[in-house]
Amino acid sequence: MTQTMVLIGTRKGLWTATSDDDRQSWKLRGPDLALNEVAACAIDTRGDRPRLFAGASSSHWGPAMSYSDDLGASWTEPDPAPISFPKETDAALARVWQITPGPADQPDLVWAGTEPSALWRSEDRGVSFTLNQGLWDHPHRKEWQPGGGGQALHTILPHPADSRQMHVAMSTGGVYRTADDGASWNPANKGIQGSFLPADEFPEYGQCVHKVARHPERPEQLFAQNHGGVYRSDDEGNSWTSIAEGLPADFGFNMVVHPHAPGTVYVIPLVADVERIPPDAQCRVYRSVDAGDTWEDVSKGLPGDRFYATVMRDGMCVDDSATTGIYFGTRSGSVFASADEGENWSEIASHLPDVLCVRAGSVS
Amino acid sequence: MAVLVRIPGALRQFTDNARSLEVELPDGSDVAALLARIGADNPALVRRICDERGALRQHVNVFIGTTNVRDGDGLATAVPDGAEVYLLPAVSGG
Repeated sequence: MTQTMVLIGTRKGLWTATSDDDRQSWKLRGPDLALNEVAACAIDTRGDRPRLFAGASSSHWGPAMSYSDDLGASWTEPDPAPISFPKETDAALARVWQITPGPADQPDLVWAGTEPSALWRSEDRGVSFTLNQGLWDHPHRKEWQPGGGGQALHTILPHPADSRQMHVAMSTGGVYRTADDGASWNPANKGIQGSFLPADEFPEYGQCVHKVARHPERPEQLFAQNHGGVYRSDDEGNSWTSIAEGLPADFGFNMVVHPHAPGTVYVIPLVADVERIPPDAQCRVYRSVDAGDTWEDVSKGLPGDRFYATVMRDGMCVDDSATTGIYFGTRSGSVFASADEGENWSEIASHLPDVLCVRAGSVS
Repeated sequence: MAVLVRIPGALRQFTDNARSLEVELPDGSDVAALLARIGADNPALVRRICDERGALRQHVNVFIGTTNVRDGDGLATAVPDGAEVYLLPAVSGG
């Protein structure tokens, strides 16, 4: 039987919500990996059976990466540790920030992004990862600075048609891209503002890009939610233009692309930069169906007043259903879901620890 | 020589719920050698104590008897024969 599954990574473990009635009702289970901060998770449906991934970190016992081949009934932490910085780097893994399964025709390829900012590649479906040396050795590295959550590589966007191309994003550092399979990387931030920087508001790099997304059928078009500013690039990141007009605020952490509709994106604005709460204290999702030219409030069913929670950069996602489901979890421990592309919302989990990440997909 | 290593509750998932481990070591071994010996059989346990550089994690303490090795030579602190070694999380968190 096919279910819709939502992985909910929180400050104190991983919860799982499942629905077997096309997302009309949900069963919540957890926590797995209790008392671990789960900042990254993924549902990989490419193999013979689904594999779940979790990047967990204990404030005492450090970070670890685990997987489950039985939908969370048990978790395996491989030996040796899947992600371990080589001795010559004199670095240590602080947190796994992103886990990105590769394309369908390469079912063993998995990417990961970490703190300190680094890109990792696995060719054995996440059992072991290799450090991307080109990005690690980048001369800009010494000038990348940690954001509030740490120096993180949090976004990985493999090119859907050309395996030699990829974009990544870091806070701080900004967007970087490779066209030679990761051997060399160049910044791709032209037009993105770094308003928090003292000298240069449009630097070549150093921006605090919070999230970047793109649709696989339109790989040249990228969308970015920046630390102040919402942007679109129509030329693979060569240049960016603001698409913030029409939003109640240009700050936020999320950027999600509709999986079946190139040019349709979702954001959750926050009052910039000091308050970091939703405008007018209302829980609001904004959708654009024209690549950011215009925005509409799609918040029916969401809390209407005195809502002060934020949504972290990986706290919003879509599922793979024919009619797209959208999900977001808040730092106040709620998870909201829409089974109809954002038209209607309901709360599917509440009173959890701070939600750090959500991922959704169909599993059987 | 023989050393008894006390395992905190949070890490007993890595020792089949054993509360302690008896470890045989060459005379003159230090804490690093002790952890390496444990890690040979139980790498996930030792990853909770030290990072991949071999550095003691910030909020973990290793005591030999009543002495915190941070007050000695750190992981280079010698472990005497018959010692009881405690792996302890710092009292912190929320």
